[in-house]
Amino acid sequence: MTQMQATWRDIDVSAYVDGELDPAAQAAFEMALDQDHALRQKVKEMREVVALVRAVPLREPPRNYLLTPSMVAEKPPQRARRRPMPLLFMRLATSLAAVAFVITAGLTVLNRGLTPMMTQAPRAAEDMLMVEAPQAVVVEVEVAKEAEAMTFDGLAESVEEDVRTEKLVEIEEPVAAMAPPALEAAPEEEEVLALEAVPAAAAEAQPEPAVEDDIATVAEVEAAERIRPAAEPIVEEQPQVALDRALQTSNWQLPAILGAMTLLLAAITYWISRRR
Amino acid sequence: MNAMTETWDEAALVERAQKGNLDAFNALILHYQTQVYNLAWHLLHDGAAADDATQEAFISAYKGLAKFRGGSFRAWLLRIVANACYDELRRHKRRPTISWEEFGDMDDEANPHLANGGPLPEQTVQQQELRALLERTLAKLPEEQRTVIVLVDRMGLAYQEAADTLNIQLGTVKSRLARGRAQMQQLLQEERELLPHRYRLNSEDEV
Repeated sequence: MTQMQATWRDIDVSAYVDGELDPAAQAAFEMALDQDHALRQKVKEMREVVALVRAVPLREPPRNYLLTPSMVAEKPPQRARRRPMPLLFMRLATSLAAVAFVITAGLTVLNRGLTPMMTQAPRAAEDMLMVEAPQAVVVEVEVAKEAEAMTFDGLAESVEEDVRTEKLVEIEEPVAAMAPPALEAAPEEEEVLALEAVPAAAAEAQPEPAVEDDIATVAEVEAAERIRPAAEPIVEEQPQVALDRALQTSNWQLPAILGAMTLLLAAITYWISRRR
Repeated sequence: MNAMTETWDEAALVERAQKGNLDAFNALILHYQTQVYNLAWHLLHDGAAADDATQEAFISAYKGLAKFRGGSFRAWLLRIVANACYDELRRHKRRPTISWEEFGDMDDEANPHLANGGPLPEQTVQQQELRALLERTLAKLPEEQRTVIVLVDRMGLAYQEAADTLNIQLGTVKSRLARGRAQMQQLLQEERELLPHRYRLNSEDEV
């Protein structure tokens, strides 16, 4: 028994029973079989099992499986010619529309994100100009008036000084007090009011205002001319915002159209695929 | 009809079938349908599923005849049905069960030999009991061992043919078969009293 287990395994016994051992192994096995009772018993049991398994006939099939020409007819190629082409085309079109939608939508979103930055930057620059402009005007007005004042007599000079001081106060107050949104319109109005007040004050303080009126008028015109360009962009800003909004609205039209087209194509593709 | 003539006839039938002769292929079907159906039955354990798998396997085999490059036609055919059965098992997550006995009555109706009264009633009953015991025992084996036993011991395939059918190595067939037989012997030993006398194991007769 020990010798059999060491030399011959179940796989050898099974192969011997079926005659599947090679000639040399079979000769050696048969020699061992003559001398080893346990091995003989093992072979006998294996043969009994095989005989039992083979003793029961195979199940008879419930019917014949003969093929008819209709059962093996080549139907798929005909369908393959007719249907897959539209389906393939529709899938391709849907994919392209989806890709176009994603690209345009992405670009539009990017654009929308950049546009406020692009529009805010000039606007900020304008705001800065607007803040600085009145101060620059004030400085220029001061310089000009100082130069003018040096050419007239003391009375005129004192009156002029009062007027200048009053005007400067009136100009600087709105500049210092104004919040950024208010800066856009306020300086112009304040300056105009201030400049209008100058002749009146001068007329009240000075009984001979002929020359002074001329000087004040020149100063008014010059100051008005210096102030106005700084305020002009404020008037143009409303059309710019409207234009931006119009552009943004028109930018979304293309993605919207492409999105609708993608959905439509996807629905048609699904319908075609379900028909198959 | 000796083996040489049968082999030649098979080769001729296969060649004619490959040229589109459906009658030649139907002759091959009649010759192999029992084995194909039995393999399907042993793999699926369901009469209706085995019936469908057998029909589908023959249709697939006819359409794929161009792929047959010689060798054992039976092994090629059985491989097709085995693959179809494995696909079916995967599709339905169907696992082998031990409830083979419930198909015993159906089998009697389907078997024309038994229905025509070939064997005596006593022999028929004995065959049924033996079949039930054998199938119950086979069902307890691992699937890979059971399939090899069915191919080699039930259908009489050579080792190499079984290896070609299952697309495994020859040594694998030998080991699976040996392990399966050893386990069968052990299982049958446990139900020794249910076996007919001539099939009882461990009799003390000499080899």
